[in-house]
Amino acid sequence: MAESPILIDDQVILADFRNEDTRDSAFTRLVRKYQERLYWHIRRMVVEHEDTNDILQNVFIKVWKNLSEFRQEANLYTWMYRIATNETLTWLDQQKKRSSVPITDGESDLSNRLIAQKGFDEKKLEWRLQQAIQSLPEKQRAVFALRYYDEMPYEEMAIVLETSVGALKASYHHAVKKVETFLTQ
Amino acid sequence: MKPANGILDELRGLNSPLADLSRAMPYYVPEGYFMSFPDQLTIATLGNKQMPFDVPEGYFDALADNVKTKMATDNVLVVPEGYFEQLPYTLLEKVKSSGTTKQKETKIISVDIWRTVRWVAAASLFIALGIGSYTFINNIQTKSTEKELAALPAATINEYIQNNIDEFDTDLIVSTLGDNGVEQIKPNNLTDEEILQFLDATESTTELN
Repeated sequence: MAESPILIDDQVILADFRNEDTRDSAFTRLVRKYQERLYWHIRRMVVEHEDTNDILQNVFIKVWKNLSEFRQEANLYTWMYRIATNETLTWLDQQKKRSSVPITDGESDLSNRLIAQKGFDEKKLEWRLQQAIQSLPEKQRAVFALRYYDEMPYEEMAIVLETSVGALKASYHHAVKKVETFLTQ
Repeated sequence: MKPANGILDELRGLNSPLADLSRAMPYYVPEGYFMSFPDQLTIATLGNKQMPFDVPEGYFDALADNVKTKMATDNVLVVPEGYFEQLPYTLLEKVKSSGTTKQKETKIISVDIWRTVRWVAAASLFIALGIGSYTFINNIQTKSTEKELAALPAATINEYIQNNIDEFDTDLIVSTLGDNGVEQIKPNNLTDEEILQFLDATESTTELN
């Protein structure tokens, strides 16, 4: 089976990165290729642009540090998604600890951030959908976002989230029902 | 972007209206953000990490030996042979031969503890005598007062009582002495009739009622 152009391109980037002379340019290409996908994956979880920017930078710094040792057991973008998801979940945990008010998963803090977003309009369906997503628990939110927005196959999602395919399917279906309930309220 | 068929089929299989919803993200992103992000990232990831200078190969490995060698050859401070062995004797001779320093006499301050003890004992004795004398004199005065009172004639005492006593004092005396005490102080040469006459005269009849 022929590899997809995306995967071939990733292998070229990887090879160029391992060459000291072409490392910087390879890294720049890698960033340009995946920055938006990773950006939106993070932003759907944390809402704020500034926080997303900070986390995204941390993600690519980790990629820079560890790309030389990348074993290619998974796809490059799956590996990067895993780093991004872990960084995001870690950041959310830190936010909970810093907050003096106890915040449960999908609680009011992110909802408040959403309402404060530029152009927020509760009557518009796309904003209501974001509110519904923010009401989900963190990991379930990640499952829903990866499947619904990034169209990630369950097998790759299992690598990203280190959870079984069956559990992910159940979690996604459950999340879909919750979102529907929220939108029909 | 049109969702992949697999995603849509899955949502339709769940009878979910999400299959028909727009997936456009409503969030605002600063203009030019994605254009400038890689450059911003390069500074963040590479700016503090790499130095532009070249270092000769093996430089740090040989550095320690190089420094030691340099120290050996550049050492201009020479110590005469046997200097440290002779130093104690040299110093001792110098000290003995100086003779100009006068040993300072240390001032001796004698501490006569027994003298202090004697003073404390004398003070204690004086205080004790003073207290004792005061007590003794006080007792003498008290005893002489009692003797003087005892020497007073009964008539004088009776006269004093009659002039100074009142009903309250009478009640107090009666209650203190009790029946037996009253009997004891009753004069033997007075009859009950004489006593009643006395009481009528002084109108002190409340005790009889």
